[in-house]
Amino acid sequence: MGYVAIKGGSHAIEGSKIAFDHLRTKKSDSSAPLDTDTIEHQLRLLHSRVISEGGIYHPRLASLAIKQAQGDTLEASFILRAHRSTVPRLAETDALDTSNMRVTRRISSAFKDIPGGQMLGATTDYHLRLFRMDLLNESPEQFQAISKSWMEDLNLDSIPDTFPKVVEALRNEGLLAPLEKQKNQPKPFDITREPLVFPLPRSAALSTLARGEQGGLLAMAYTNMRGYGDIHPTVAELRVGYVPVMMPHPITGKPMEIGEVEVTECEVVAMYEQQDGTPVFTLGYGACFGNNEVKAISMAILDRALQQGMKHGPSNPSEDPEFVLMHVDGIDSMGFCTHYKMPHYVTFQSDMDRLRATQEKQSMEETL
Amino acid sequence: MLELASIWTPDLQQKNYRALLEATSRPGLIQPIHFSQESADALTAVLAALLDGEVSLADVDQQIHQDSWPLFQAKRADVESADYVVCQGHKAPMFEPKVGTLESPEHSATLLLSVNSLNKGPLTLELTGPGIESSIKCSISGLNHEWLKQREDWVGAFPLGVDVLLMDQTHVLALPRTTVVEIF
Amino acid sequence: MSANEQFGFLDEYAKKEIRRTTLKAVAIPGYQVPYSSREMPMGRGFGTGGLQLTLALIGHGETLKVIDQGADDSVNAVNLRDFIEMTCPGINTTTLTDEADLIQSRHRIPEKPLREDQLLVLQVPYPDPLVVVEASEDKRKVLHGEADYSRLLVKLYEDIVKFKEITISHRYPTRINDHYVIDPSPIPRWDVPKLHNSKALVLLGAGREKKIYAVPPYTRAIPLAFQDVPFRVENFYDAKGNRRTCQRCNCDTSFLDEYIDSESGNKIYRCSDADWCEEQLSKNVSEKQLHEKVMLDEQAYDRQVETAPSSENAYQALDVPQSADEIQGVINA
Repeated sequence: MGYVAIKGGSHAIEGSKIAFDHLRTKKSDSSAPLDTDTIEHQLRLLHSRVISEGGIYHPRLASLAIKQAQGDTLEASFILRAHRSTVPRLAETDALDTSNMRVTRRISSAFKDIPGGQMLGATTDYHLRLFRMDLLNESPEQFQAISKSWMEDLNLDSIPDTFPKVVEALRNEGLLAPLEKQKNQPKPFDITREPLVFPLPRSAALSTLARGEQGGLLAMAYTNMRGYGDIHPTVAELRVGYVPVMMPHPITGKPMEIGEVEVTECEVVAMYEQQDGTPVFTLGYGACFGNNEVKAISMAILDRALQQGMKHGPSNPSEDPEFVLMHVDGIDSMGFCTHYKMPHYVTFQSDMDRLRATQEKQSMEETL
Repeated sequence: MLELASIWTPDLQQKNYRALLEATSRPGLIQPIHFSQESADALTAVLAALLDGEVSLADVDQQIHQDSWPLFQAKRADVESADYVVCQGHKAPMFEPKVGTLESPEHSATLLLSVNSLNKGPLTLELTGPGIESSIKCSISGLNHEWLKQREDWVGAFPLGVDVLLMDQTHVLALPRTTVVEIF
Repeated sequence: MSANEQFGFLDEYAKKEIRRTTLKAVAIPGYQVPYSSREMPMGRGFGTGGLQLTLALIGHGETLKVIDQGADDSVNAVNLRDFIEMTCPGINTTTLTDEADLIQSRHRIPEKPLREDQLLVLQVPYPDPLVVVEASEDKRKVLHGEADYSRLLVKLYEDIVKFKEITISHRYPTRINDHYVIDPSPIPRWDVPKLHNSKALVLLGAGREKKIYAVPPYTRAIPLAFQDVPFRVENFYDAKGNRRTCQRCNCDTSFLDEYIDSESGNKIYRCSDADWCEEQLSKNVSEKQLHEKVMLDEQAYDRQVETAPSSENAYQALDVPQSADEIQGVINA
């Protein structure tokens, strides 16, 4: 095979790869290489974010992506997403039922108490944001002691696996619109197989948001929360846990659990509007892989805002589907941002030509 | 072990796609289709290169083998809404294919018409338009004149239109909607 | 870096979707056909649209040339070419425009006119010229369908009123087949005329924006202009009215890169199209001088070597690497 033996740009690229990896290993005499378990557990929330933005539930590779990208969440999500692009699609499951979630945390702001109770779970919500200086010199023994101690005296049988959905209670009372019958639901829009063409179905909006970059989603949702929008949201339920993935048995056809995925789900109840004659609360829905609460809440608010925008026309940017959905993907946006660092000298040459011509024309006029 | 004919392999599908691209870029020039005689024919080879589960197909004159459908993976559709429509060229058209919309002209059908011969026949056409340096003539046998009349209607309001692939046993000739066809 | 086993990296579904999209694009010249656009291992903005086209098009035994800013050794071109070589075993790559079956390019069309048996793929960051006058894609699609470019023409006119010139430098809006106006990608105005009645098919791929469009061969491609303010290419004349020439090969008909020489601090001009410059140079330079060129190898690249100057056309330091094919002798260290 005849290949081009070009060296100039190649040398630079090779050198840059070496320099990048060198920085990662700088303290090799006093620290050990990160292992994927360390990242998955000790950097759990960073890890969740990368799985969610990468769009493929592969905890081990998400850890590797973080290690390889030296902690850059955009890069790490990119590596994971690019991998996802190469993985063949074997099957499609039915929609996962989050009422079967093995809950690790579940709260509602709408009610003081809810069936099953407010389960705070592991959260930073009520932490005091003061440094825990003792963590600076944490010894392996102290580290292990924590994990060994906490589950010792628990009666695991008394803890329910799952809890009823708060929105069900609202539906039963007629305060929230009933769910559409499953039978006539169109197949969800597959954003990985079809390009987004506006106007979009809600499933396309939700799946775009589900892979969206957390900071971008938060900023857009914040514009709505702060007053550009009119949603007045209340969190009906936020739950975090593990949802079983069900597939039919290849021989018997009976649904079987093939694994579980960690999901954060948020249902937000918003301003009521007329639906078939009766005013009801409207629902905003957000769900994503991993433990990403800010993301799920932001998603739910944007879902409601976009539904509003698609029905009545956008009255602010957060309600505009094109504005929101074309700009929340981290891989698309960081890629383009990064591309500005590439050579642009031919186009710049062209720009200089135009400016010089314009300057010349102007100075000619001034001398007349 | 299911032996797949070579038209189902990526290598041959790439070659046949390139033949279609060449045909569409240079209307009037016939392009050879790659397939092995024992196991396939030109029409199946072209469909194998184009189709998968994301598109729909209508087989107006039952030209497609039952065995081929699962391999094509294409959805069956009505002739008015199908992405790809297969017909016998000697029969007059009896339907209105989808011609796309002003915003999305690509949501239009590609018609595959089987004819007897693409390089000799009673019907001589003179073609002009994008892809053709000045003009080109081609002689065809087995194409009902009605197709050309109907095509005029379908492609009359650019960008709306349909794109036609004429196929004989071994070759393809493309008439994208931009090609102006005169009967010589 | 690991890649999967599939020839051309993309799975067959992705390739087929791209292929079907290209056929519609050629049938509807200048129309931006949407497609799902897979993520690639290089960033959006780095040519993933052009890359997906190449991977869907290319087959065994074909010869590929990849350039960026006209140069084969620009980092973007190197990156893409390495990836395509890795994922498409059985293809050849070349720096010679003449030898290429398929050329993928960012920001330039080769100086040498392409042949009917060649294919050009251009990398596109912004496919839609109407973005400057209409933010909503929905509305733009209607304008395109109706070929209503009045607002775009007004924008150009406003430029003229303000600056006495059309200020668009690259990405010059060009009307294809008397209907769709395209953004021809950030090629300089210099290259826009090459689209008109081209012998080769030109395909344009925007990865991030998820669009593919085409200029078929022998198709009208007319840059937008006014009767009294015509379309103009870049001006390479100096203040005295002399056409600038390439400092390396002396060509006076090519698009020139202007830059500050890192050694002397002087402004110099060189052909942007590296292969074109090579070709012109080999027409000028004698056999003897060809032998004195440095053969491209690991150590020699870093060394700067001066050849015996022939005239003003002194071939100075080696900062544009040569293709090993071109060199006929080896210089002694």
